[in-house]
Amino acid sequence: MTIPESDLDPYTDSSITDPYPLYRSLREAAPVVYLTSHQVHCAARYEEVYSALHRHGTFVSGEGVGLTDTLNRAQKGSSFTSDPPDHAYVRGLVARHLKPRAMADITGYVTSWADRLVKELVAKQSFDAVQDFAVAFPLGVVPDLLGWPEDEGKERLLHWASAGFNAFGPMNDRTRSGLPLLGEMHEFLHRMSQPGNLRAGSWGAELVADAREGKIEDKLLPGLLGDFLAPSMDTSVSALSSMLWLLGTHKEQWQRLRENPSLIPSAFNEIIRIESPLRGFTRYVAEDTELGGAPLPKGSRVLLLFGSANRDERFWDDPETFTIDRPGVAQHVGFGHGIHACVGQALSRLEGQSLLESLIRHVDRIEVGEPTWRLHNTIRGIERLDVTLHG
Amino acid sequence: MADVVVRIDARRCELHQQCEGLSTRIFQSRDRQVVVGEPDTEDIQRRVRSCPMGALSLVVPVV
Repeated sequence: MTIPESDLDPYTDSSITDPYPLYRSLREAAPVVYLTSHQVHCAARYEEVYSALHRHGTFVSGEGVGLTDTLNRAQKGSSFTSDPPDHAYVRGLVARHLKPRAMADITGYVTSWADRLVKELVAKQSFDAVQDFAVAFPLGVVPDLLGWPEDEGKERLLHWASAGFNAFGPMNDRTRSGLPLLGEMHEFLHRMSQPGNLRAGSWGAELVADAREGKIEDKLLPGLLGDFLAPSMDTSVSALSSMLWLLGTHKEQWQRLRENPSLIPSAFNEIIRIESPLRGFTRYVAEDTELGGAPLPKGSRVLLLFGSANRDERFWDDPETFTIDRPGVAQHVGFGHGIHACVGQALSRLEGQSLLESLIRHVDRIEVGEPTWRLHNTIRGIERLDVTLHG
Repeated sequence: MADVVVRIDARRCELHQQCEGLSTRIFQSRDRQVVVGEPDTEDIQRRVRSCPMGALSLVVPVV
């Protein structure tokens, strides 16, 4: 099978603002296409994305998961840019506080946070879904769990996380403008890796203590703290703002959810499927192989478009329709899949589902304006959305 | 048509419960696997694929 070339570019402003026509064209072209604009292979269909994510010995992460070689080298060593056997050890250090079982310890804290926020916003009536709702939640919860010092501004975290995710894309203006911020984050994480800087008893302080006792290599610490912080920001902000937009624009689905709250887990999965926060990551091809019948040589790189796979008409029935009780929705790849699946997905589910529960408790009707979409290389998300909650 | 067997890689399972209780059923079984009849295969395939970690696997015996 010959791999067709395409001059479609997923990173132009227009294909970021509305990526779905481009995704559809890529899916229709072939199981794998070669993007001449970035000199990378690209898989946009569900089966190929799913297959590559699970063949982690061939489609490896240890050579980086972004498009740019220089930045891939710089981002090595985190849980999502490492390969077995190191990967299990690094992921385990982060995952111990993020697995579903660990969520039991913080469920009360998160649900009361969610309830307080929703009640405040109902009282306020009109607000911005991003700054007042989606940002407030992860920024209020995650740094606190990590032990973020009270005298350090948390707002910088959002800029750092955004810069980090942009750097998984091509070396364009979005990536370049974030490079100084990455340096700033690097310096901060090194400082937080010193004993006494993170709040005693927090997840982060526990990691630092483990390093002091020799249980963790010192050099891993900044990356581990970064693994907690950055991925939990932008992706959550995207998911939570899309949540309000989707429920506000699909009033019949919102009413069904209110009438049947047992659909909350399915509804949250459907939100992640139809507006996947992560557009996609790349994998390095470690040996000559094939994907969907397309030959891929050792040393090549393939971009896996999660957001496209989650709308692949070959796999999903009526994929453009938002349906909160979609059969089989848990098969989406919005959190990735396989050994590198999002380590914080249980926390993300807890956040999202707690907010849905609170919205059901306090809100009759969700009124939304027109969203402005973010121009970001890796995150699909809303920049601004006016919302009114009618209690 | 032969039955199919569903197994779990316990080291990889993080108990995300996206498989609608299939992992719990397997953990409670004596030999860490469940046998499923042919009519249920499609449903089981869907639940196996729903495990975000890829901890579940479907084994179709050769007949």
